[in-house]
This record gives sequence, C-alpha cells and structure tokens, in this order.
Amino acid sequence: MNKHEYLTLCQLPIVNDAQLPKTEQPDCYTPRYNIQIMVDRTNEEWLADLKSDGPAKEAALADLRATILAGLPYALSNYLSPDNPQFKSLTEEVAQDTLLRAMDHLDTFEGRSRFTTWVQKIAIRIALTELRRRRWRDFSLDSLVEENEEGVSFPSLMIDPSPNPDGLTEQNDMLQQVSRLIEEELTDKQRQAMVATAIEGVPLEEVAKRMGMKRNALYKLLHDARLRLKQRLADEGLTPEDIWAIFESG
Amino acid sequence: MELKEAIKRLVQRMGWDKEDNKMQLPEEFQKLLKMIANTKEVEFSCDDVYHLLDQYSEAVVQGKNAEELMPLVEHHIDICPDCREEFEALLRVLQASPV
Repeated sequence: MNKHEYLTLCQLPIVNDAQLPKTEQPDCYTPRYNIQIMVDRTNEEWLADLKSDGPAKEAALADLRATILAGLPYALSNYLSPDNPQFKSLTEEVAQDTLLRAMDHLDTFEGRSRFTTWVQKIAIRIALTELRRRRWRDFSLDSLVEENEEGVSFPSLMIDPSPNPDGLTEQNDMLQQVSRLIEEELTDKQRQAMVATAIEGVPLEEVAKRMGMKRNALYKLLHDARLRLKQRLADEGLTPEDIWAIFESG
Repeated sequence: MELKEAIKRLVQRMGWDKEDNKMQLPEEFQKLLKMIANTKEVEFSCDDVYHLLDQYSEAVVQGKNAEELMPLVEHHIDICPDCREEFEALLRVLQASPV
C-alpha cells in the first residue's frame, strides 16, 4: 500500500438541467460530473486523526464525510439518480449514520484495505438497507404462496394449470413431481424463505426482518434448504444438471 | 419407477431430445436449479463476506485474481443477491476513484 494516497478533489461545474436536452432516464445512472477524491492520509493517519481530539479530528471527519458523499452517486447509480428529490436527504442521512458507525467500530478496521474503502462499504450497506426498506415496505410474506390443504405450497406459479393442447401436460407432470419432492424436503419456513428470495426476488434482508431473524441466519436457513434439495435429488438419482440437460434450450 | 428413469422415458416419448423440439424450463425453475447445483457443503455467510468485502473488492479492481484468492467470497456473491448488490456498488465507487 502506498504511504501517501493523493487523489484530486475536482468537481466540474454541474450542467444546469434546463440546458440539457430531455433524455430518457437511463437504466443505470451515469453521474454528470467526474469526481476524484482527495484523501491525503494513509490508513494510520486516518486512524490517528479520528482517534484524536480537536481540529485534526474535525478535519478528518469532514474529509470522510466528503468521501462518502462523493462515492454514493456511483454506489446508488442503479437505484436512485441524484436528480431524484429523495437523493440529497438520503445521502446526507447515510453519510451521518456511516460516520457514527465507522467511529463506533474503528477498532475493528484491520488494515486489509484502504480505510476509505472500508468506510464506503459501511455506507453502501446503510444506503442499500434503507432503499430496500422503502422499496419493499408494502410487501407481505403472506401474499407469496397459496395455501392448500396440506399447508404452505411451493409455487404453483411454476406449473401451468391451464389445459395444454400441445401435449405438454407431461412436462407439467414432471415439474410437479420435482416440485412435490421440493415440498417434501423443506420445512414451512424454508419453503416460504425460498419462494420469497429465490423465486420472487425479495431481498434477504427484507425477508429476514419479516421472519424475525437476521439476514445471516436466513442465509444459513436457505443454505440448509439447498443442501437438502441437492441431497434429495441425488437420492432420486437425479442431479440438477440432469434436469437442466433434459430441458436445455437449443 | 425411479424419477430419473421416468423423466428419460418421458423425454424420449415426447421427442424432447430432438434438437428442433427442445423444451424450456420455466425461468423460476432454472434459477432454483442453478442455485441448488451450485450449493456447496461449506459456504460463507453474509457476515463473513461483509467482513472481507472491502479487501475482495479492491483485489478485483486491482486486477488480482480475487476469485482464486477468496473463492468462498466469490461463491457467496454468486448465490446471494443482497451481497452481490453491495459488492457491485462498492466496485462502482472504487472504479470511479483512480488509485
């Protein structure tokens, strides 16, 4: 690692929106200005300044806040444009929370990366957690699966219930057999979690919250579920690759 | 009849093994099968990966063979969408800052 890292803080003038032609919102936002971050501290200097009292600490906190705010447009470019009215207040809140969390956990920084990278990681976790909360606030686990007489059912959404004139009911029959197998192996909790995350694409964090557990615990629950399914398929003499190979599109 | 044998006979009867008659699995099923196929006995948890994410991301940006250096991190990111989002976000930040 270099003893001193010099990156130039340089902010080009922001083009006034009125001067820009109207363009469609890109799927992935590209910031209109180019920011390079000036960090004139080594990891050791960051830690020393942040652990001190007085002007050195204040300056370090201000620089760190600027670093976080400069990185967030890139971090959030897939989710929120700086033109969005929510952007400024969200990023200010994230920067503040990040500084607090970083200061609380300074002693856990192990120096395996740049200090600013470590802080940016914290900022991203905080920011994405909040965005996920907002995006999925109306989501309910109860809406996901249909209950049948036996309880929670693995998604019938994968099986086409309608009459199939092309003779594809046999395909459905096969998928139903495999789905039944899946249903038999998993606990209700595992089925619910798997449907929500793997099928419906709900973030683990949001599912975990609704199931009253931490994201880490949910990952382990799902890992166990996947192991069970893999073993059961193997017991039936069938690997996922076998099923895949049968149906692989040409 | 074993499930595997039943599927084989079904495929042959329906002609799904013919090049011009291949069937496609529902997308959700494909996603699920991929995850099951990629499952390992030992996997890193989200907390494990979060702990190493800064180091891993820098290695990727610096062109080091991060997947070989930290294969369990790479595997987890492949499976866990939440961690993958955070990794990709950090990558964007690092790529925007010249080293």
